[in-house]
Amino acid sequence: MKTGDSFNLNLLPSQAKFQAARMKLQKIIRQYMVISAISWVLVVIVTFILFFSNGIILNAEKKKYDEALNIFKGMSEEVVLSQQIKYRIKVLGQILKDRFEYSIAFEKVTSIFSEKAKLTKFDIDKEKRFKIIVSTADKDGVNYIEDKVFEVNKGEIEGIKNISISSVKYVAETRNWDIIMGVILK
Amino acid sequence: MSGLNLPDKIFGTDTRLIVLALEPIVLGLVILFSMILVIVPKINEIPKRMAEIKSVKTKTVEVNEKIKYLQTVDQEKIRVDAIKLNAGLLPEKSAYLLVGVVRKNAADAGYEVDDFSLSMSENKIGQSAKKNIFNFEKLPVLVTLVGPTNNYVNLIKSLERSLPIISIDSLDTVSRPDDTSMVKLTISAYYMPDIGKINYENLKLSDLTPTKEEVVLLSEINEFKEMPVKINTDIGETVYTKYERLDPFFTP
Repeated sequence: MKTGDSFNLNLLPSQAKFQAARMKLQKIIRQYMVISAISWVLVVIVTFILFFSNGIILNAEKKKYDEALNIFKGMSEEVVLSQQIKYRIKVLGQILKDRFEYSIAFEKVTSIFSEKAKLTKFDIDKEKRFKIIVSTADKDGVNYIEDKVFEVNKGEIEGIKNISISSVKYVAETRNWDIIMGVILK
Repeated sequence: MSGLNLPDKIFGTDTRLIVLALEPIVLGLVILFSMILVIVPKINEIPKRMAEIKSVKTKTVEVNEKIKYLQTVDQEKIRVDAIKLNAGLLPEKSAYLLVGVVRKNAADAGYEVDDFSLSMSENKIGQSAKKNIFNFEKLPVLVTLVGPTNNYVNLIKSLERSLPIISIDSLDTVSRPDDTSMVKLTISAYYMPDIGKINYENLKLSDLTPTKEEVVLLSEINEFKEMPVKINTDIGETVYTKYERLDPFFTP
């Protein structure tokens, strides 16, 4: 047995001091080791509890989702029809938005003048500009047409941008005033 | 320590001190390696799992909302709307169908089809016509109609308020002295292939429910007159007849 061994009580004073210091250090180290080990065990337990509990919850939620998805897939006919409706509305909406509606344009042009002046002819060119002939029997009618043109050009009539009178003529055969105009829609 | 028979000093340090340090070092290494190899990866996995739980829960709620919507919506109305909207596009990629639709519309307004011409390249399957974001194809036809001048506006209105949807690309009118008009129109109808297989998992509720604007549009389209669409076999298909005629230039 070595001199200074813990079992040998015949120690030199320096060895006794060393032994005492060593035992004190050993005690401190043990305390720290116990604290570390307990902390480690706690961390391990908490980690595994969180890990596995989340795993169990995840599996349960996935099961619920799969059940719901299966019910949804079982409604395939309704799904297909609903999606088809949605998609086709978008497509048709785009087509209708892009197209120039001649009938609406015609309605706008024909609605400019009331019965005081009769729209006898209209034509539309490639730039979507209308050329119209409006007939009226008397001076009041001509004044009415002039007032209407003035209103349009002031922007008071919805949907029509501009009217320009290109010619006014009196037709002896019909005893009417024919006013030829160009109409630009908004 | 007596069994191990260790020297008094190792590298000038008292062996008893080294032995004393061994236990915490071993414990430290065990803790360190277990942390690095097991605990930290598991800790990293936990937020991912929590996020996945949240994501699955959200997806379940979305699927349940879709189920609820489909259960509450009037199935008969959906069918009627689907049929109406299907009529908005040509059932086949054939411009001949469009001529048939125009003929029917023209007849309603007292007009007759005088002549028509198709762009053959647009009519061949496999050659794509003008495409767009929705992948529908435009099939143009040049058609000349003859009929009473006073029904001209009605004709245009009828064409623009019928299904399949028709766009008038150009319009030229020639008035005749007998109160009839010759209307030259370049019109187009539209064809779109099927959407394809549905991905149920990626389908959102908004992919099934029309917006307010779309509902308004749907009610507008519902007012359009649905025209019967069928291929005019007199034009599109002819039966091949073989005539046994002699070659007048044949020299035996």
